[in-house]
Amino acid sequence: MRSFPRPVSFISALRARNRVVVALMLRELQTRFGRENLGYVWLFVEPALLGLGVAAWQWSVGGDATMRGGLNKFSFFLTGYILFYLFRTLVSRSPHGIAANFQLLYHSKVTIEAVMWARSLLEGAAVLICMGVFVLAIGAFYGEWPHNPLQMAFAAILMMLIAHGTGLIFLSATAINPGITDRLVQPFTYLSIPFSGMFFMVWWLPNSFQDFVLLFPLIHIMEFMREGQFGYGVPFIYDLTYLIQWVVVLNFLGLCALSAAKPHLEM
Amino acid sequence: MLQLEGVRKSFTKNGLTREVLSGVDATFLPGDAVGILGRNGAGKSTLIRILAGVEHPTSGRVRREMSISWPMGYDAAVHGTLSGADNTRFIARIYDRPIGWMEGFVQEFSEIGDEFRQPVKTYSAGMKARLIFALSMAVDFDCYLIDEVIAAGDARFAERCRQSLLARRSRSALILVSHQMDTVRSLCSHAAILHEGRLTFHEDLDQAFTEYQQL
Repeated sequence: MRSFPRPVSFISALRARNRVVVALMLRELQTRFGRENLGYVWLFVEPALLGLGVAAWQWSVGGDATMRGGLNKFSFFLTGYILFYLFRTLVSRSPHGIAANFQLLYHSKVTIEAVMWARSLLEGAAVLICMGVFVLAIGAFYGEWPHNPLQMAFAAILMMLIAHGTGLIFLSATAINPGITDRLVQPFTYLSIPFSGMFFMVWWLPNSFQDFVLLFPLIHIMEFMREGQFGYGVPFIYDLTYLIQWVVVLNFLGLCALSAAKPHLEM
Repeated sequence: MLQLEGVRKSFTKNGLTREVLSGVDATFLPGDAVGILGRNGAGKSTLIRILAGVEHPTSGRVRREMSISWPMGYDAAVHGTLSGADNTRFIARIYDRPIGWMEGFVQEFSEIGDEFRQPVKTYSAGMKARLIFALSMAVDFDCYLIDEVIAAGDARFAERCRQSLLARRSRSALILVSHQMDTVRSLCSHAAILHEGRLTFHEDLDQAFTEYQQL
């Protein structure tokens, strides 16, 4: 029997893609953390430990008294760090997206895009859960419950999308030179720290400097998350439209770069 | 249908660009059993990796309108730290096959026994080859890509592989890449020669072999 092109509807193509992404996520969980179920805990402990470290260090520099606006210093730096961790980990691992998974690409159903989605979603889910656990802990210890938990979750999703698009661009850049891309990605994530709002809020800064830092998308996400966390006691300065434009443009550029890079990527 | 149109592939190493495929055109339909002959370094592996979708051509087009297997003969289709069963479940998920049924089929067909639950890296080469072949039979592809292979494992299993592939020749396409004429003769109905980056098809096996020997 000779078969001819089967029309594939958009919906069924999307469902096939989702199936592959879910399978990749399950597999990534298995390979990264072993078969023991306890291994999954590390997915949450890793960002949490780092967040605790930064928060403890900030605490030792002078307690709540030094916080402008009287925000809880511990929860301020903890959630700030966890949110930035999502960006850092996704972007800094992106140049290795293919090398770490090349054998998966032997399955024609598995595309580079699907592999990258699986990583982003898995890491995003880990950070969401980690953040949830700490928000509960802060509520239990300090009696401070988040103003709007859904807004915090939405901020984490926006962070994942920004990091996903940025990661696609770095991955594509490995087609030009893998060594240099790998060297550049680390300074890039470190240099993002001052523009992420992890250590400060926009209203603490002089007006002229506010306009400058607000050019960077990460700071909008951080302010948006903090509004969800602390409510309306202090000014939160962000522009959701501007942020979503960044998300769309970065992801669009990322996909274009990837399709241009594909013929030159080393397997 | 699996179709290549003007496929070129070049690699750049240390500033030197080498063109491995320089304009390959081919159409494979279900029921075709094509042996691709080529000397060492002729670009056979590159071609099969492009057919499988692992690599993308530098220019030209690949149209895939049937499900295509991973290239058999590589270990790449399975993951070493996962067990045979884990690998089976993963492959069942991505190709949308019933998970329980596939586990049963693969464990039986591959004759691995209880080691099915052990990490693949503990398997012997023969066991691994049997697992990978059983997985590909369970998925039931429209097109099978085979790179040298079936040499791995014992003679009895090699014969079983050959019989299984012959049995599905009416509904699946088979693309075999080899530098040995015997392998091609045992499975294929026609042959193509990959030489200097181009692929030439021959309807007649003997004619192809004669030409191949003269290269």
